[in-house]
Amino acid sequence: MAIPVSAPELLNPLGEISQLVDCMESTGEIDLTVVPKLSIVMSHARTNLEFWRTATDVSKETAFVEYHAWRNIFLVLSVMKDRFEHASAMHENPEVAAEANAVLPSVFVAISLLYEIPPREIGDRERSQILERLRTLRSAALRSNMSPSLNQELADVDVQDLRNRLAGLAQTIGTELVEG
Amino acid sequence: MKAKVLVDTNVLVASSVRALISEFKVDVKHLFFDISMTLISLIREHVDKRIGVVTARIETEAHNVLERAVLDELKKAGGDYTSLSAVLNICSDRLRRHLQDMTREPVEQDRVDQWFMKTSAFFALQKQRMELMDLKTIRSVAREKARFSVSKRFREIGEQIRMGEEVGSYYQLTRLRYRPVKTNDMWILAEAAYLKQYYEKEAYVKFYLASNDQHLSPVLDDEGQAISTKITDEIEKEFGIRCDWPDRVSAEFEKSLAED
Repeated sequence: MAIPVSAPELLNPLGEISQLVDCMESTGEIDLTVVPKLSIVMSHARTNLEFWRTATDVSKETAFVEYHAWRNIFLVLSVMKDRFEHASAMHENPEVAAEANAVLPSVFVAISLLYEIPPREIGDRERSQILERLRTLRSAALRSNMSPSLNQELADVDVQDLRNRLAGLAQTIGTELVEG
Repeated sequence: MKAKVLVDTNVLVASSVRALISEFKVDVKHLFFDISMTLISLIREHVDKRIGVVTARIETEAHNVLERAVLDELKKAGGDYTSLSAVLNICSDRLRRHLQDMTREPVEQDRVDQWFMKTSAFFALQKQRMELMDLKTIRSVAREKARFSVSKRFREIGEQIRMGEEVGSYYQLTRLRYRPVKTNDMWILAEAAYLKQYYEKEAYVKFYLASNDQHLSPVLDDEGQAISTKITDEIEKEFGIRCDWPDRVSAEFEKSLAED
């Protein structure tokens, strides 16, 4: 099974983004050419997440973990893109470059890991490894204000389904949900 | 007086499972969300006092619980991945924010292992106590107590009342019959014992273990009054650690903070 977007297609533009951000951090000026580059990586991440959404050649758990990983990469990059676009208006120049620089290595490592493990060989251990890597990414995003807002998180979500899923999760951990 | 509270995995998980989406009038939460948040909020409010403590094991385990639950839910119900991914993100982010307010203490694993041997032996002993306390024994204890505290005239009804009280008071122990202690409970108690000993190298520390688990915290009635503390009391006697529910630990802390 071949993942639609290859590793270099993602990692090369990500490397260019990283160089641009380094440059912005040292000059203290925002370079908006970073925005279309981020759009390219986001679009590739979306292609991959759609692939995993419907993948049937692997277990559901593997497909979900891969999907979840690409969705998180997409979400974090979309926050980063929004912040660069609005940096001047929000007077976030040059903090946004420093904060992007704090998150990009985790994005890079997460993507590398997703390509490093052949999907058919993913077992419990590899799934844990991917989820652990995502924790690092989300923590870096949270610390650097690159974490998606609730609205961004829920953009494609059926809220009723989310509620049912949360109830299922609660049941699995041995409790029930109550109304707030 | 210095005081610390080791926050159990189940408190961190309970305080992380919530979906509040005002736009869709959705507000659902874990059954123990409110009592767990009482403590988390207090720790956050007094973050400079470094009250709340976790270990790497607790932190990892809390994340693992959420992730395993999501994968189990997927196996059970299947369906689209988007909502499950969002659920995991919302709960994990909440957990991450809680963890930011805690001190993550490193532990010397070989020392914790030594304590683990002690906590395992402790719970094995509790199991033996439970095996001795069958209904017949509890009844005879109740009868004896009634004999000394109730007049002859009311002895029969007195015995029944005492019987109810005794059965209730041993519940924390007798429930071990159908809910055995998990290895995780032994580990957290071992880490708590290690940390208490570590802190006390400098000065006495009042050490709490906040847990939503009745193997450690007292069994409460509907009004929140402790009805069975057999294991909790033994833990305090043996290890000097006060185990309690997060809201009750929080109330004690508030009292002592007010006194300071």
